Amino acid sequence: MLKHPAALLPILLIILTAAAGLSLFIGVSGTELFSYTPEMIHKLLIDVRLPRILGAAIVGAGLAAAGCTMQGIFRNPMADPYLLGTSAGGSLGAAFSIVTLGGFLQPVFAFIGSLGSTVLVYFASRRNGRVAVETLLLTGIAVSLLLSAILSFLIYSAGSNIKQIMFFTMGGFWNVYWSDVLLGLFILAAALVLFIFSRDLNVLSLGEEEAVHLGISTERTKRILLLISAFITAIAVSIAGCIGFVGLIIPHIIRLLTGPDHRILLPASMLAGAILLVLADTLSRSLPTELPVGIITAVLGAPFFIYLLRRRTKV
Amino acid sequence: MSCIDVRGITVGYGEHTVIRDLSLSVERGEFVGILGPNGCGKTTLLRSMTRILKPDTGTVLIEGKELDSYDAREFAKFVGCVNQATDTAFSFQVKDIVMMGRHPYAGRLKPLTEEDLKIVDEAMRFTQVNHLKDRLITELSGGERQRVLISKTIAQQPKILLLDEPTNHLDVCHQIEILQMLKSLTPEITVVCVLHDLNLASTFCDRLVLMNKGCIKATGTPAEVLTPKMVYDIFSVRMIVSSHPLTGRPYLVPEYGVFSNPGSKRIHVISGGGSGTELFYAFALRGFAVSAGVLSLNDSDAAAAQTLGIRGVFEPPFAAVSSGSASKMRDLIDDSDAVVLAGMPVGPGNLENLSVLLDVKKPVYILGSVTDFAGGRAKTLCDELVQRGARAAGSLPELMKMIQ
Repeated sequence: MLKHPAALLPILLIILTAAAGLSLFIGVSGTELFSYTPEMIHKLLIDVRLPRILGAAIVGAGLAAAGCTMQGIFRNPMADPYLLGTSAGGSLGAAFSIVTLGGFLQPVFAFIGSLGSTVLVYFASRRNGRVAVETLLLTGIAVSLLLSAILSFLIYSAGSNIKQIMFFTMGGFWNVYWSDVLLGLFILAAALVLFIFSRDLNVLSLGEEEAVHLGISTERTKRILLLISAFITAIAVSIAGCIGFVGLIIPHIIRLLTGPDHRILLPASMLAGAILLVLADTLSRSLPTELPVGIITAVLGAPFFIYLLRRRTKV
Repeated sequence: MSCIDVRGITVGYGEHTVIRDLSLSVERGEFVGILGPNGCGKTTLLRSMTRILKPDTGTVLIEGKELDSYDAREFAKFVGCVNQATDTAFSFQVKDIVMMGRHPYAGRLKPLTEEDLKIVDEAMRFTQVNHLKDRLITELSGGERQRVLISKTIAQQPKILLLDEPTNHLDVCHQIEILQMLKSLTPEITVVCVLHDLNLASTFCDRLVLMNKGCIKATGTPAEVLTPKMVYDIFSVRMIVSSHPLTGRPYLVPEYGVFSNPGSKRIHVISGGGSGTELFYAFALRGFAVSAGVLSLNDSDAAAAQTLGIRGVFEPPFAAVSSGSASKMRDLIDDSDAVVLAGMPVGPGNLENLSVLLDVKKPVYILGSVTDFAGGRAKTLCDELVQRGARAAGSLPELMKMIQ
């Protein structure tokens, strides 16, 4: 843990700015820029690359914020934003649109699928007005499996659209434009609400009974926090598909540096999530064939995660 | 008006009812201890005084208001609760945990005030966790963690403090310190505390509530409820209840099964200066019927013999062994299968205890050695006994082997 965790925030902000700046001038046509006309450069940088970079940053920040909140609520560093069926629901929504409507309103269907599955999991877990986190976790797994099975069926019957669906389930920013960035502002607004609740999240992560004794209406707070996390994740999924590992691993790494106080952990995770996706997306579009970003984050994330687990058992 | 008023509550988990139609009222400023065997519903009772468990029937009033009518934050300013120490998933620093005690007073975005920080600091000093404030909660021992959780609840500045076995995991020094600390909070604060140690409860609580099988069996001052019969009825353990020499509160010592086996084989123990107590107990446990004497009444062996209710011959304090006592002892020895002479100080007053043994036909065993205050006569008598066939044992286990 760092001695002054708060000092990490400006450092991460500088890294993010640098990464975004760098990314703006890296790409397939990186060296050929000089032969372009000013209008073409303007179009490439401002209309294509900038929204893509901002989109990646916002989605990364959102997934990290949602993951951070989930881990706090579940008091489990293994929790991630997709725990409550969000990714399976989003993929199913997108696949439905691709298969039946030729991709019409795909982001809307993805959003509805993500949020819908979370709400379904929440209400399926509710008994006597209370939601036990263990039940929520297991219901989330069950619903995810069910939705994945339906998704598999859709993929099986999708024919030529298979690649499009698979690309969505891996996630990527190849068709992110300014409209998506505007949509992403909802993520930032929702993340601000999470930040306002960060002290409650600290107390909640001590355990629900402790939280009750400290004057928190746990059911209401959990409901608000889960709903906002699901909302953020659903928007992220509708913008960029299901990018894995960011929401799991970023809060994990940042917690090692800042400790578990969400007032610092949450904004620091958001900045780090943004940095990771900006860099991962830059890498993905610099490769000979564009790879889904989710593959890059998984290839980087999984081994690193295992390394962390082996290094220390308790985080 | 009572501070806490529990009215006929029935509480359970699902189908399983733990507490049945229980009523209890706690006055402002009292220090109440809740005692009872495992699984009798102590914790459940405590939990239903907070907002964790809602009774199936009945109500709980705090200061005359129903639990549900309190706002969550207001309730937390009023009632603090210390659970049995649980694992914390994340490694918060100790000071951060204690600061969370101020959560009911803090706004969402407003930073803690100087005043808050002062209260947190005082709470840490009060519970002696100040030196741990920069450590991580996950790195502390169970006892330290327990004190941190208590500290957090003190920082909450509640008017009512509910604690579930706060002395669990604590060493004996901290057990006493924590209870003294809680005691010092009364009568400004009302304290209700689930305890397991009967003696700690007896020493520190104003009033005790004895529970069994989900009901209250007795309530009153320690002296009123901690009787051998009541303790046996509830815990199925036989206790010797005496008065603590310094506090005057009931002091309980288990009998450890001494009375359970009235034996057929008889043994007479001659001892003094406390050397016989361990023998009485050891023989009684192995099923011997023990007798003792002659003992001076101000000898601790005499007190032990009387408490155990074994047969004995006693002389008033500082009196010499009379010829009457000597012959009574001879009768006891005649009744016995063997005699044990335990090492003791021997002076002119109790020399007779040894002389009697000279013409005894029963086997005589000697454990330890006598300290001679009779000008050499005690030593001579002992040597004489050995010549006549008395066998010396080096230790209690050796003696047991010889006799069995």
